[in-house]
Amino acid sequence: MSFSKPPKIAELIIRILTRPGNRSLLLGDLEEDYRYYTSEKGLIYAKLWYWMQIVIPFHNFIKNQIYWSYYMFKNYFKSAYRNLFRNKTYGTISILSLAITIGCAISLFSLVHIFYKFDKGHENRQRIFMVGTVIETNSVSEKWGIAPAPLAPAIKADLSNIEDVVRITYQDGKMQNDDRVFYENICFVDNGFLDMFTYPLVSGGKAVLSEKDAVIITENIALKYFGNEDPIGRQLTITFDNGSKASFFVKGIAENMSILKTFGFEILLNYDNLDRTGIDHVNDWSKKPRATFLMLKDPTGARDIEAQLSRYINQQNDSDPDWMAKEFFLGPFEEIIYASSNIRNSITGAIASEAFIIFSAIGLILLILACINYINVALASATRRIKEIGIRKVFGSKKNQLCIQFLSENLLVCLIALLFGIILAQTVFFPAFQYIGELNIEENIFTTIDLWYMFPGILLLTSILSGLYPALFISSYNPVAIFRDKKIRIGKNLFTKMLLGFQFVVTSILITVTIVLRLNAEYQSNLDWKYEPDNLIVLPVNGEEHYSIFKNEIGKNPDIVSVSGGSSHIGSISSSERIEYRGEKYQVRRFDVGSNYLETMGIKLKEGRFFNEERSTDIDRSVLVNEEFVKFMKWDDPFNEYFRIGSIEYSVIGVVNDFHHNNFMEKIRPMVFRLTEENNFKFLVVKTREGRMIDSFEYLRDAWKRLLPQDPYEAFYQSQLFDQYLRNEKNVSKLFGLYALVALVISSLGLFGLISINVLKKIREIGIRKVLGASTFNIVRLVNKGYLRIMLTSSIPAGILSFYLASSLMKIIHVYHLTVTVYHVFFTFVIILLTTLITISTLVRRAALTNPAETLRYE
Amino acid sequence: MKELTKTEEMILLTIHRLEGKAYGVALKHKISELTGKNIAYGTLYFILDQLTAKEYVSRYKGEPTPERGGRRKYYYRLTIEGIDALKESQQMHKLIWDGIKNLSMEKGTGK
Repeated sequence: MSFSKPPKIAELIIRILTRPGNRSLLLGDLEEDYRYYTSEKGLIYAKLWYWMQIVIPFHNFIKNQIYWSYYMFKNYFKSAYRNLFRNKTYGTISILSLAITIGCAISLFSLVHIFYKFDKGHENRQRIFMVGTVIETNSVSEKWGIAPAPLAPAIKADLSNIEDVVRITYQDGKMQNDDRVFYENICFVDNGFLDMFTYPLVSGGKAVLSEKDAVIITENIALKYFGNEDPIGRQLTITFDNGSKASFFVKGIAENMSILKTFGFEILLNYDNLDRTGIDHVNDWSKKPRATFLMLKDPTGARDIEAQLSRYINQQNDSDPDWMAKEFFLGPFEEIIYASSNIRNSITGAIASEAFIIFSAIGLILLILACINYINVALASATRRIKEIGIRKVFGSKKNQLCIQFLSENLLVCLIALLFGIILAQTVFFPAFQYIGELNIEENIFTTIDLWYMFPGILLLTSILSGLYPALFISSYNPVAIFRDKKIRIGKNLFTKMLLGFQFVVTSILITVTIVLRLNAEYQSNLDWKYEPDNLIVLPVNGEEHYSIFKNEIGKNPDIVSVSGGSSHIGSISSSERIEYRGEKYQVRRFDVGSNYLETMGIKLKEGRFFNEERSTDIDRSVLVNEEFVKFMKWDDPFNEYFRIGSIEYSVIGVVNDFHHNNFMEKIRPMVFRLTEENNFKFLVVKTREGRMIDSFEYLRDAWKRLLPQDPYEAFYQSQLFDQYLRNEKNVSKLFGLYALVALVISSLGLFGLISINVLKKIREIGIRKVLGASTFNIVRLVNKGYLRIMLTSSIPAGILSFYLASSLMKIIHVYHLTVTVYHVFFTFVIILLTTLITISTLVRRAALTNPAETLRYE
Repeated sequence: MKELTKTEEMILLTIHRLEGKAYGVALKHKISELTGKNIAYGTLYFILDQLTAKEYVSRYKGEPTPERGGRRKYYYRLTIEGIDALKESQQMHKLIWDGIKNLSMEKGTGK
């Protein structure tokens, strides 16, 4: 006769709820009974009976397990609560410093988290791969994020497992609706673009992209050209780079680009429209779109596809011998943004993960600083609770019970701090970071956080970091020692001193970095660009028609000192050029400029002469170079050397002084200047008389509107070209200023807590000393000499570390930067010293001025 | 030596009655057969644990049996101390009950 087993779940419950000692015995008995009932009264009765064995005694279980533990914890929390409020300094300091840093850390982590959300909004991202090319020069392989234009249709036609291939190309053009005309960046894409990438449309369907005369624009562009009118079906005229003109109908409106997407579009046209620009993207393998992406049906087949791409290598290399490809590769879309530092020219750009590592690290360090406060204050104030601990132990509390008690007290503190911290993050820190960083993210800490685990994570981390050591330390006291010789020395041990020193070191590093960043921003905004950006107005133009009309007109204005132009412009556009010298190839920057350009820009000649239009050799055989170029080529006499660009041989007629073409993060590179015809001009440069720049700007605009009403006027001041860059530098220093401030506040709070407890401990001693005639100075020394000594000792490693870190940070970020000196570190030291002295003096003053009768009355 | 409680006495006597075959299920059933009272396993084992701690009973392993799902039985046996305790309890009963024959209202309530 075979029996059924007792219900599994019921058995499991019993197993969980019983003590291990009698467990198997009990289970055995129950099973035997179960069988008995099965044979006597049937299976259903037996099962019911078995379940009842759990139900009947359950109230006892609740009473014993949950009810009593609840009371236990309630008691712990009650004593924690009382302790916090009895000693307000202790509670306030712990909670306040934790709350501030938690707020700061939450905001930092949220920001970092936002940046890890880049490009995660594309639904098909797991199946998308970027097609790139591996180029080998001098046996060094480099990955480039671009591929030949005809590769895309070829892949689509030849290979299987391909869902779609999409090319993306950007080109500038002039767009017009009646009197509204602006230069715009136009994006050309293949039909499947909107199916592959997720760019939500407000109106219109994805299918309109396949129509050649359709244009899809973003809401911003719609507003810019049509105001509040309905743009759908309206006509826009686009003049392409080569002068050809075409009309398009608005058939779709896209949502404005999210900053969480690394690339996007404002104006979207079908890829076939590129033939209007005179560029052959159908057969010419030397033409490279900005990016080529393919979407696979099955992403696991990527390696296979990658291998098959090698068949196209010859077609690429035959038509583009200057850019010899070794192989094509596929970059998984989700990864390229982080690996982009290794992929040159990737459309996604690269995310500087270092910045985010630094952000997260600062968040963590601030948390640690606050935890140190808790540890120090908890240890120092433990003397006040030493009798409580002794009594609890005598009454039978075990060490781990006391540990749990202290940890739950700490959990309460951390919980309160977390709540305040969340409020602070939402209302102060996150908006502050956004404001300082000039980030326009329509998110707050709650929407950015699908990191639901962050809050409990921070709670757990802080409570363990801050609570574990004090709990273990305090609970390990021997009650006999506590009651016998009431002098337990806590809060004076080496550990506390080291923690305090650590706080000083971290604070001083942050302050030094702030000072250095701030001064560097000042330094760079006053740094000489080595040319004269003042009183220069730059006007983007389109070729000779603009240039000559305009030049003649404005030549009459007496405010204007000189006019020139070029197809390159310092600070905006220059090309990377490969020159050939004695069979070797060198990479330099090339500027194509008008005859008077260098003089107008205020560039100084070092040797030789500037261009002279009258000389025919100047136009096609001669170049000027900068000093760096001469150094780079290791030339002794540049005027006797010849080199080639393409097939033409050039000689140097002049050497100009080095100047900064780009921002100060970049080293000055070797440059070569060629004379170019007015036909190719993209920029018109106007030098005005001192103080007449703003008036001239107005004058130029009026003249432009009169002469060239069909074309956009987009002039700018040369001196403002790097304003954004310089402002970013200032913003970074402000951001660090905020961290430094938080760190300084936290450290001061911690010191304040420690000393105030120390004063309380010694309040009677102070009283007696005063009665016996101690001076205020004596008492000040008595209370804080330990702390001042710690500060002075730690200032040595703090100074060295601050100096080292600040100067290496400068070296990493900038090429041309402020030199970090001992003065900067000394300045930090003064700030910390002052803060410390202020902190100490407020407390000591109180202690020293208290009437001894007050403190000794109860003895 | 402490006095036995009634339940302890009951369980000890049942162990004695079962003559070496006393284990959880048998004890529970025997008690309910003798007294009509149902005793929960929880109570039973709690008292058995206490009795074991007082060394009135000793526990030894039996063989695993299939009807217990392959688990062992644990048999309980009285120790000398257990028997002494029972004897003392019996003596106590005798002393208390001695001379009382007809239990009626008048005497006990003092009327």
